[in-house]
Amino acid sequence: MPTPVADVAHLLRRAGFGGTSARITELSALDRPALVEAVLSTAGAPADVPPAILADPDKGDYDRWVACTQWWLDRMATSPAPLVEKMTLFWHGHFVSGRGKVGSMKWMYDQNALYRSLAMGSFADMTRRMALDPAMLDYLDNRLNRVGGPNQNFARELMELFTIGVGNYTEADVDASARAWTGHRINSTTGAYEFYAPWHDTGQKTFMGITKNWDGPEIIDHLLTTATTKALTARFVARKLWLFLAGPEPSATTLTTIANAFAARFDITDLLRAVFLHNDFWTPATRQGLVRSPIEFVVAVMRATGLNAATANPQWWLEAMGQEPFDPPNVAGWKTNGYWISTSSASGRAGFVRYVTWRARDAGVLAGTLEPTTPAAGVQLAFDTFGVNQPSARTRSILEAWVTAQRTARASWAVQPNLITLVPLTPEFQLA
Amino acid sequence: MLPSDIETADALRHLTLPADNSPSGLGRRRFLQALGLGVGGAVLGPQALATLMPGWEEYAAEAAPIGPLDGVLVVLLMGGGNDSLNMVVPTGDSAYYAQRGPLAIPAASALPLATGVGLHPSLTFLKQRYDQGQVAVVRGVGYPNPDLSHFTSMALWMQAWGPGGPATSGWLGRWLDGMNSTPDAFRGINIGSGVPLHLAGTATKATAVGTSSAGFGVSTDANDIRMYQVLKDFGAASTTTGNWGDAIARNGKALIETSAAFAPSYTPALPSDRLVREMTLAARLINANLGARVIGISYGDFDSHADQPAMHNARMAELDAGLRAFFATLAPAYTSRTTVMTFSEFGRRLERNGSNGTDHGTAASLLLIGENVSGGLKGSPPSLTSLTSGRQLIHTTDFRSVFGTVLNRWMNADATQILGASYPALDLFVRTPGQVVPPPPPPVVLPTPAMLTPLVPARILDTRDGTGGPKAPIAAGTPRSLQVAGQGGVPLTGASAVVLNVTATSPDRDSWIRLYPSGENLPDASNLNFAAAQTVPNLVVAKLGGDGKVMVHNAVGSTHVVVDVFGYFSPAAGSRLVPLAPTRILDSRDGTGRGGLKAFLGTTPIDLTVAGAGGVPSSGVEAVVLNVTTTSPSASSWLTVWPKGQIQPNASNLNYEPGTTVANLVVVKVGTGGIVQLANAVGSTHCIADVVGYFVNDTTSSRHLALSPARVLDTRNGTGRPGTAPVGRDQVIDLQVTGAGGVPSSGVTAVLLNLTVTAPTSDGWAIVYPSGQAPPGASNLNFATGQTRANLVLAKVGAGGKVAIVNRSNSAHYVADVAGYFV
Repeated sequence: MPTPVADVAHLLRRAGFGGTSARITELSALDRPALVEAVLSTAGAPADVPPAILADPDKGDYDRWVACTQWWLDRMATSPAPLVEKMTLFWHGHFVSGRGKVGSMKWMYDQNALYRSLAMGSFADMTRRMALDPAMLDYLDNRLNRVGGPNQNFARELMELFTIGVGNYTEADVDASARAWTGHRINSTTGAYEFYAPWHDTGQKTFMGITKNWDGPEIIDHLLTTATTKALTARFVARKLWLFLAGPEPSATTLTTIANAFAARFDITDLLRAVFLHNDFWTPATRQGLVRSPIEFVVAVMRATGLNAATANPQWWLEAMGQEPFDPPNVAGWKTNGYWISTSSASGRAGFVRYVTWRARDAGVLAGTLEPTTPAAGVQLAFDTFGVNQPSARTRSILEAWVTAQRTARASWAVQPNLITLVPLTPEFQLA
Repeated sequence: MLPSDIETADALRHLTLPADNSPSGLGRRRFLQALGLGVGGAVLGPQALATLMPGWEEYAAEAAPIGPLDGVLVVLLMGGGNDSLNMVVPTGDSAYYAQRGPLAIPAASALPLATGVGLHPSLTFLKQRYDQGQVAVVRGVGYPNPDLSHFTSMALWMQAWGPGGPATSGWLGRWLDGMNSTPDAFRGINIGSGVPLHLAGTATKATAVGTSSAGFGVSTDANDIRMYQVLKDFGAASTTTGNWGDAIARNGKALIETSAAFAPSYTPALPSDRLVREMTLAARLINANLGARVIGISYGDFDSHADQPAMHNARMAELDAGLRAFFATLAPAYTSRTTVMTFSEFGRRLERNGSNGTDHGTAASLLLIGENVSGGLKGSPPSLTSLTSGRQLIHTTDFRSVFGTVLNRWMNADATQILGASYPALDLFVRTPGQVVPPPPPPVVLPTPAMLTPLVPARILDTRDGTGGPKAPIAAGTPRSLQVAGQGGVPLTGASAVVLNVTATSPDRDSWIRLYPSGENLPDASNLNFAAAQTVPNLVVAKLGGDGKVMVHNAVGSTHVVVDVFGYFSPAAGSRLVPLAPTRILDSRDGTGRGGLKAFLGTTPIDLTVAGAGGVPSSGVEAVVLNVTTTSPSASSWLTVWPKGQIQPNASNLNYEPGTTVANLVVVKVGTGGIVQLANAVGSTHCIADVVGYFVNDTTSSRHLALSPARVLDTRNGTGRPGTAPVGRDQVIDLQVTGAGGVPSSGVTAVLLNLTVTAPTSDGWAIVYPSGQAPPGASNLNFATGQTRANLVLAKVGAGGKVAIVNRSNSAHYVADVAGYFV
């Protein structure tokens, strides 16, 4: 049974950054399970080739950040497997590191590649690898953690933010875990992870009631294999992913369903499938229940206008919008919905589309909205171009009245560029 | 680790909330109606919200000025866990030095607040404010069962909801909810790209403003304005795209409306250092008077797990620079209505960790800074030896006691409702908002009325030749002590005040001179003003110090000074004043006082008969008070006035340059035949004299009381006259002189005013006369465009205890200091 076009469009917005009308039409021939498998496919994902700038010793950290940011945003806008990029963004907001503290963009890029390589794979592998990742070792100070001078930063966040969540451990557990993680550091010569035995605390430690000579990775094994902490982790991560992809708070039963699918083997694709196939993912409340994050907004604008990041320069506005790749605001990452709604972040979005407007107009975007096209036809063309497939009657009538007013004022030349500004600022476009 | 960008705090809201995903746009009216309260009802606890359906309400973004008694609170979040033990340092506690080792701030470098307590060495501005009694340091602030997670602990602080439960709203957000009016975009403001939990209520949240520009929506191009209108239209009613769609549209409308209001506060360009920039912006937003009552600022990172000194020292320097910039920018109109408060989610452990840092701690100090804050050390310092089992400090003051006191005393709110419980009040404010420091009581004047003995003029100071002191100009800030008693005919004892003509000559800078009694403080007043290289005299009736000396103080650069004495006042003997409305008795231009002879004064002395002229009796007069003006002089010269029958003294009353018009008050002993003599030194000049009073030997006329100079008029700042506008042409200032500046409220016949003009926009003059009368054809002060000039004025008091000052120039500002009075 074919899937309604509106449903395909919904899934492509959530499982990626929006689809072209051609892609939507193509996929609408599939039934829902087949459609979900299609978006879960990683076939066609381009190889992960580091931006050349990382090998250029003459470039500074800011230039590297700009290049890596543009590189990633272009990849999001063009990848045939956009869910991989969307999940890379999700993991960036989960296993957080940020260039504000991590001195090396090379480490930040390597971490990004690690997110990508496991984005739809094993959460357990991801957690284990992240603990030994140089960017993470630097960001949460584990590189400094040594016997006699424990540093709790990573040990605490591993439980509070990465796995079981706050309230499910004691301060004594944090103390023990911090000691267990001593000696896992960065080799100062190679810049790579190393286990440095002289710094490791080999004493007895009591973690979650078990006393032995714990080592750091054993803490992760314990958290992800012991029934209670495994279930807590599955619920914690599943809820976070539901909020990221669906929007509204999941009901307890919905959360149980998707968490159970995840906990079976901590396979991320299992969890994604459970989310996309759940009836609650398709309700009107969910369809209207998620605000596009700044990165999603920027990528959607780039896709609609065909402009690449080097032309659209989104890096100039992402800070004002409140979301910069490689620089999450804190170890808790980004949140959703109301987190993105403030006048100053709206100012950043408007500033970006205002800049893009002139580049896009020069590229011929929305040239078909100029007279003799009718206001209605011009506005419809703008909706189609920006993928607004279910505009409200009210938004439509406000824009049509505005086009008419521009023509009355003998300023119809401004219709084309200013539609490129206004349509991305409609509530319809800013919802995911 | 918590980042430097603490809009993270908003993140917290979403992290901690089990049910955060309802749009924040729930309208207050709808919310209260749903609770059965109606607008104006009480604010309920945050958990009540979860059961409500979101509503929608028109967004109000019209700036409304704050009231004169409304408090403004600037909340500074120090995110990441500020090490308050290194901010407010327990310099007297050996446990601190033992546990902190090399991280400890040495007692010698801390800025001492009290015995055993000092501030971080970078906090010099804070120390200055502390010494002025404007900083409350609340120590040991925390809460029971402290949580060491940044997010949980910060959520608890921001939520400040006594009954507990999930952090669904913040304490200042609930205060915003409770404001008895429609939601206002300007009442709560957060500087940054998000709104932290403490500024988000159940129905209202603060408006986020950018740190570098007012944002999108400030163009005045017609096409842009039409585009802005589309965005406002999107947000003007339900979008039918769901609650989040409505919230996006409403936010777009608010963006356009608030950008226009905020735009002026971004010019001139803000400083570049982040906290300085944001604190400067906060002060400007208060000055703009858009209605801001709460402004949030967040900065960090304070999470100093490793290599703490570099990080924490930088944060402390930023804090001090930010506070300094804020108070330098804040307009005086708001200083009594503005308080800054800091907080952090926790302090840090007493013990240094193995990375030369400190880990998450518990109780900490927070700061309140402001003119109406009760300054000093508040709360008990937590013990550094009696710790929890986790070796953490035990708090002594609940943070909700601090917040509750702020709500009750500063925000005019019911703290119990907003916090959900009652907490002990603290001594954090000496006055409620808008109440100013009571003015110091007027000086207690217990002088004895004194009478004048006029003298033949005599020079008692000339710094050019060493008369009366060193042969050197008087430099700024180094007042010259001048012995007056025993000099030039003034008795060694018994003189309470002297009549001096003071002349500044060869100054190297624009400056002014003040005379004040030896042993007293420098007054906020001036006696003569001059520009570089000018020679400017003025008459001064100077009160003598107990040692018979006056201090001569020069404000800027250095200048030579010449002082001539013309008489002295003594309680024991002398003559008494009869003040007069000014009457012209000499005008060489039209022959007045010269038998019709219209001629310049040359260098030959002329006689001026004062007895019987202009209201002066024909006999029994000891001295007269004249305002003498010279105009159209041919050369750089001076004028001397002295009693007939005496040799022309080495003294001067007026100094002038060719083409100028200058005036000065002259008190001169009446000579033989009721005559005084006047002589011009070089070339020729016109000369004019107005008589304003005379001294007689009787028991009924007025005696003199000297005052330390006090400012009774300054049109630049509203002193003595409403507003700050300059005085227009022919405008009259009716200056209340009785009951002002130490002058009694009744029985006063005349006052001595030193009248200064500044910033005149044309050449002109001023006339001083008894209030209620018509302005006479006279002048007291003459000036040219742009000059600052001073002249002593003997003013007869008119109706209602006032004297009138009329401006005869296009416009000018006037300043008057009262130096004495007659009763």
